[in-house]
Amino acid sequence: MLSTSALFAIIVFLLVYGFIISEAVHKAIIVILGSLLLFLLGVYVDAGYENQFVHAVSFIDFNVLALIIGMMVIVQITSKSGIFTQIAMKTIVWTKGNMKLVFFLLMLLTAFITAFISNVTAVMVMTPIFLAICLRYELSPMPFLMTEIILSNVGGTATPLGDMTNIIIASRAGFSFVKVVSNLGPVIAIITVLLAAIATFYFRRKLEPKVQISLDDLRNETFIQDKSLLIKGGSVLIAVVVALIFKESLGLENGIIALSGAMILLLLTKIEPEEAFKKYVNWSIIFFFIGLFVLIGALEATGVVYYLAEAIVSHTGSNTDLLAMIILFSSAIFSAFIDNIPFATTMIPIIKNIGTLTGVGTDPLFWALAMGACIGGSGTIIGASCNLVVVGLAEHNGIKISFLEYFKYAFWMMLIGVSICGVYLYFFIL
Amino acid sequence: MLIKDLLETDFVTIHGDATWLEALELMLKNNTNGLFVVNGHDKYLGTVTIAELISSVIPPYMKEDPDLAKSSPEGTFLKFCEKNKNKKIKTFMNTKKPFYNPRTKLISIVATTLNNDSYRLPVVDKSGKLIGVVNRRHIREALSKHFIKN
Repeated sequence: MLSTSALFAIIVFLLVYGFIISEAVHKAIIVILGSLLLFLLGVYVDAGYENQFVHAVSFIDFNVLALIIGMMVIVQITSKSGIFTQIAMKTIVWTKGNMKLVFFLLMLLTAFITAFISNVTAVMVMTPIFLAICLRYELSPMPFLMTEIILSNVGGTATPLGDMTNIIIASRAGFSFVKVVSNLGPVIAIITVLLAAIATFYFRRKLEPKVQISLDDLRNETFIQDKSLLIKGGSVLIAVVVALIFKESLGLENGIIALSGAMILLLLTKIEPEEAFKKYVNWSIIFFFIGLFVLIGALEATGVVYYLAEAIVSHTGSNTDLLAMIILFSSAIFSAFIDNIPFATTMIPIIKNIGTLTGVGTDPLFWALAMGACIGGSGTIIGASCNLVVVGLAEHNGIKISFLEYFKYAFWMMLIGVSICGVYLYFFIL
Repeated sequence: MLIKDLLETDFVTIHGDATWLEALELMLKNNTNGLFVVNGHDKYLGTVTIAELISSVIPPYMKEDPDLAKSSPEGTFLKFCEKNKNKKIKTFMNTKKPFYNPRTKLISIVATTLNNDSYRLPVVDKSGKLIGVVNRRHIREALSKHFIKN
């Protein structure tokens, strides 16, 4: 039987979730106010802790926060160098202006860079480049923007840096960079190539340029704005990824590696910390995570998560195959319609408790969650933060991506991706 | 000294519903780079300068990353202008420029002029009707009168 505190924790959680879905109030504000409500209701009162606040803070994953802040600074500074514009424009030259090939290769590039610089930053960098290409060749930007959303969600699944959801899952499950890449990388590579090929075929007519333009201007032009910034930022980014790969040998945590990398980059570029933290760190997402950790921590502390895990196990037993498939497909569907970050963050302690209750290994369940939540986020225009970033940038430039138009194209693409994940899970992981 | 002692009443206005092209034509005809936007009752709405006319046709992504403009084919700017020539002035006019009432003190306008890089500042009466403009030349003339007099 659940305690009164547990019932309060559930009510506050559902209330906050309702507000997140309705988008009536900014999600960072509502999770922090939800946390305040938990304190007022005394949900975190526990004899083992000095006070409620200390108990709640024990659920905040500072390693995740440090990783996100560090990577935001490194990636935002590096992306200003113009390297991605240079690659995109030179791709046009290399392919002799073959737009179908350009489209295919740039979608692969989007997925690849997403894996290292996170999908929100990747789409902020790539969307203006796609708009410039479409302007040059008088193409509709819709194929580019809609496929970009899908592949940035897919690409972000390959590493524990590519997607906020994956950052949380990998960190809370204790997965190293190498473990995530070796387990998810191959299938994500296959899905990326397949979806990019399907998209190229699907939009083949819309990718016929209306004008023939000489490539001399692109051949002779350089788009790199700051070579020194590129070298410094690129070196730090590579060093951070290498350090994440060897973090066990170094005895360091993800957060301290990323944050140290950011500080070294600030030293090298002489960018003032005040400017960097103000301009490059999205503080609203950091506060959102703090509030979310406290809210979900309340469900853990009051036994709700254990209760939910028990209920799931009573139906599935210790059948890992069935559990993994349920988690994969339900995560994909839920994540398509609601923000995938709170969904995945809620699922993590539930999966941990399933492991405790059944004694089975939870790794396959976490892989199922990562693939389902990250790729599922591409199913609708509201499924993930990066989708909304593209929609916002498009709207700012006078291009409307409607919910229905995107849904009709992306939902089945998402289902293809998730189905491949299901096959991969069944044959290679389970 | 108050603004009413400085203001000039010779200025060019344009209706908010006028188009981009009409604004350009009016600027060329009056040999000016700036117009004051008003409604049917001469109520001040905002300003439009040649810089704002140009800026209004450039896609935001290109303004944020001007390097991307390098990939545009020749003639793109004129094509943008052509595409936007019927755009209404009120959709892109500058409404953030400060405006003053005739009883504003000289010190207020001097502080604003220096801080905002605004050259021609509108002066409106109580009903919001545009009654004059003040620019740096007027301030210079006021200073000149003061120091010559003393």
